[in-house]
Amino acid sequence: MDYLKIANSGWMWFAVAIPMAVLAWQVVLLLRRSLKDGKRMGVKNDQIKSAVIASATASVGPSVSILAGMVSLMVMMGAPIAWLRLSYIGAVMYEMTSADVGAQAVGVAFEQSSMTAEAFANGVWAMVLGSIGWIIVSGLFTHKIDGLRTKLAGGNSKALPIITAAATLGCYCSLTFNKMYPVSLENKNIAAVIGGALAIWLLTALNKKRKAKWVNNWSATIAMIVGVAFACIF
Amino acid sequence: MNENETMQTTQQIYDNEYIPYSIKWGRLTSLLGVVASFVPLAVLAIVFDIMPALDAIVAAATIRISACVVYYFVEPISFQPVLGIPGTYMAFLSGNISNLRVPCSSVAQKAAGVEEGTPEGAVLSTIGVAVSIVVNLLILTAGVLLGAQIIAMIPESLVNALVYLVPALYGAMLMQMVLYAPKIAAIAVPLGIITLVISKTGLFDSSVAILISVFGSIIIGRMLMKTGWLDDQK
Repeated sequence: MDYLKIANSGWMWFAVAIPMAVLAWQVVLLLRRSLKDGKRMGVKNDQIKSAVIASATASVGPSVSILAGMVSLMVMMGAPIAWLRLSYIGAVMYEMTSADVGAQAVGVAFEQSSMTAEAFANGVWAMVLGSIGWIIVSGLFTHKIDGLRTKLAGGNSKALPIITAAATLGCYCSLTFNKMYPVSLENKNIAAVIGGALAIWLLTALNKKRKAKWVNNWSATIAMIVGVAFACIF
Repeated sequence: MNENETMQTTQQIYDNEYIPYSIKWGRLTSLLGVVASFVPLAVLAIVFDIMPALDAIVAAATIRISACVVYYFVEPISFQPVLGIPGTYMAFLSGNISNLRVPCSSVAQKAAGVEEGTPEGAVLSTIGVAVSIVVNLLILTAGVLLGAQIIAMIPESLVNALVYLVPALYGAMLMQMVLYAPKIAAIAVPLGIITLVISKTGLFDSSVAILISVFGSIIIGRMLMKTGWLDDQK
């Protein structure tokens, strides 16, 4: 039987539905609790609404980008696995590399014409075994990592936001500058970064006076569009 | 006095109820998620009788695990200050962490006007991550229903432009943090640039660069706090 018939079978859809159900369960549990305890902590409905609008709109662009990357994964590994792996644990680059490594390990080239059922299955094995480390580490040690941050604050409640701001800055510096390397005119990522940064700078300056709520809700999305425009123009 | 009282209860709700619940259920569902990710493999083996040779599985898994093992630790440590405890469980179980979950967590917290690293920050981060999971899932599901041929009809120029969304978003988030904590940024930004440049010379791996960037900023920030220079930072 053609491996893609198996990869796209009803059984595979059933198989991927189970991990997705676990994720849905986690989201429901933690989200419900966040809404409940958040309200008791004094978080206003308006704030929640702003967060939802801002996060939803900011998710659209990158998700469409993930969707475009999903095509190659769908063609090679079937729709169920592609759908699962890009909503659950994985990311496009990681999954394509894993599928490739898995196929090669059974002596098959990662091309649709030469793929076998065994190569397909080994690709999925590589995806799963290579990625569970993230979940095991985050599952077991998340609260310990948080303890580390509290310890660095030295029991000073004023220090915690400063330390977190420093950590967040370090994190975004690393992510951003990595995209800006190598520094050259051909690297359009630099224009995108500058466009996004300039847009936020202007929107923040504008909002200092007017305090318009739409700016808070839409600034990330606007910044993304400006950044892409910069990358395309310059 | 009154404000002090609410502060206290917020912290108490966070410490005594919200976080214990999140750790208990987040850890349980994440570890269950590890088990569930083997379901497609079990279906392939049991229903379709496809089981790659053990040495092929081991060979492929070894390649993937050795390539990723550093990131299993570096990413939860680096991203957790932004994500908060419940947000970390969800971001890692759902994947697409650096290109979607982390920025959406920041976007949600900024839109709601809460500080990262505070109890309210953890609540809004969780909401932001949850929303991004739902939006991403809806878009990918629509893509699967439409089929690979239809997705492939997205004009190539658009797909190429979408690549710049994530760097633009990083630039925007970085600028937002710079404006929010300019004095800490005065340390973190040069440190991030120096770290990246050194990592590109091959002295240490780029996976370590983000750790140095995050912890270097924390440690220098902590030292400057003692001098009183950061007293006017919130």
